[in-house]
Amino acid sequence: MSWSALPSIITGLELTLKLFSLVLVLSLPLGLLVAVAKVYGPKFIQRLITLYIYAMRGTPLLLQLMFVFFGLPYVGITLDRFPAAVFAFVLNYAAYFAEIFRGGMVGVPTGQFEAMKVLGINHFKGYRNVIFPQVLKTTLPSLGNEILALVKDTSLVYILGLGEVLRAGQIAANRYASLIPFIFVGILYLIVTGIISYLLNKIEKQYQF
Amino acid sequence: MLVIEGLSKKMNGLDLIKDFSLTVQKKEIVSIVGESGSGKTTFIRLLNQLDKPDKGQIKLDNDRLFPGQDGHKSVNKNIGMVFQDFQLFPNLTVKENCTLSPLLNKSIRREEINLKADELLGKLDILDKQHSYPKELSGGQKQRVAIARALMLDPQIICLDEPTSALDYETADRFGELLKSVIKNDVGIVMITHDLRFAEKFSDRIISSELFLKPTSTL
Ligand SMILES: Nc1ncnc2c1ncn2[C@@H]1O[C@H](COP(=O)(O)OP(=O)(O)OP(=O)(O)O)[C@@H](O)[C@H]1O
Ligand SMILES: [Mg+2]
Repeated sequence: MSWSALPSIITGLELTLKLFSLVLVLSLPLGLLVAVAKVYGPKFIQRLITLYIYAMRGTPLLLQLMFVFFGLPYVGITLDRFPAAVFAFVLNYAAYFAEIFRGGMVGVPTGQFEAMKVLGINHFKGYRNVIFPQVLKTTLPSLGNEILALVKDTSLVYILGLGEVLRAGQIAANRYASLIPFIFVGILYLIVTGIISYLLNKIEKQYQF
Repeated sequence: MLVIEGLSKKMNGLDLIKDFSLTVQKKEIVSIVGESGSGKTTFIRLLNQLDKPDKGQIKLDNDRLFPGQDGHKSVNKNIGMVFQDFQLFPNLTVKENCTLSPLLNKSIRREEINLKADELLGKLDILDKQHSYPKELSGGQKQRVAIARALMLDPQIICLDEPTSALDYETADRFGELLKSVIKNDVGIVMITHDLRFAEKFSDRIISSELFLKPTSTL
């Protein structure tokens, strides 16, 4: 491979990382909110959320991306490529995160809530100081899996014509009729997921109570 | 002084507690004994507002715990509870378990809260474990932390659900002595136990849970 393909691959990596981090910071809190609403919200909200989660988990992310970018313009909603990608990813990942958080929340024994009540700790403060750390501890491994999946799923935005790292690699492979760009892209993914796994492990170690 | 009058509670359509009255004085230890399923735990849950009575009154000095002033929302910190399984917060150290509620509620200054926790943990002979997490403690140690945590709020009454069930004779006796020292600070204790020996040795009064269903003169 000619090294002149490198800059475009690096630019692709930048886009991949930008998309990944933006989706992560938005979908994690949104997922938590959805989980709280599903557990504590009124019945009709709960039903709505069940439906939303079903739709997000029951259809391919690729379809959701196409729906947002190619479909919505037909009803007058046009988004640029990148915002469209972020929007679809956030909705999709928030649904997965919400299910994980919800599982963690219902797993906390009722006795913990009763102890909070008897000690006069209000719900909000109790959640922050007592319940949520326990939820995080039990959900970190599954959250970690989803986060790693997200790194790899970002490659799907090539369908919108966004120049993320895999697309840049493919273009380079075509141009130089070479296998090397694919290997190089693979190594880049491994480096990114390696760093993230390492960080996740460190965080998990902090939750060894 | 805790005054319970005409307390009633049905569970699954059956009377569990009916027209039951009881008074607990400061510095008094009252034990409740009786068959499994007779409503002992339910009774102290009613006192702590974890379950709602069907009928009756619960008063602590001049505070009405039930029916509440309006609705049933307010949490009364004058009455404390030690759960049978302690329910310590696993993500917090021993010391943090004790200080969390006072810190969040800003009842007194932070330094005072810390001092108070040290003093209580010292008294309960568990200060050396203050930085440990609950999972690193033995059953008896957890229990003492749970009591310290309840005492941090200066309750007038503490309810204990089968506090000696996990203890051997010797440890139970030490625990009994501990209760005796706890009540010196004008605290009353309502304790559920299966251990008659323990109840006879350490309580001022023993009440059978059969009385939950037999309206008698006020106890
Ligand atoms: N949340 C609940 N819902 C329905 N029934 C309940 C509930 N909690 C307790 N009960 C019923 O109320 C009755 C009394 O239970 P309780 O726990 O007060 O008994 P107990 O005297 O503490 O028994 P033990 O000595 O076994 O702890 C039991 O028949 C139990 O099945
Ligand atoms: Mg019981």
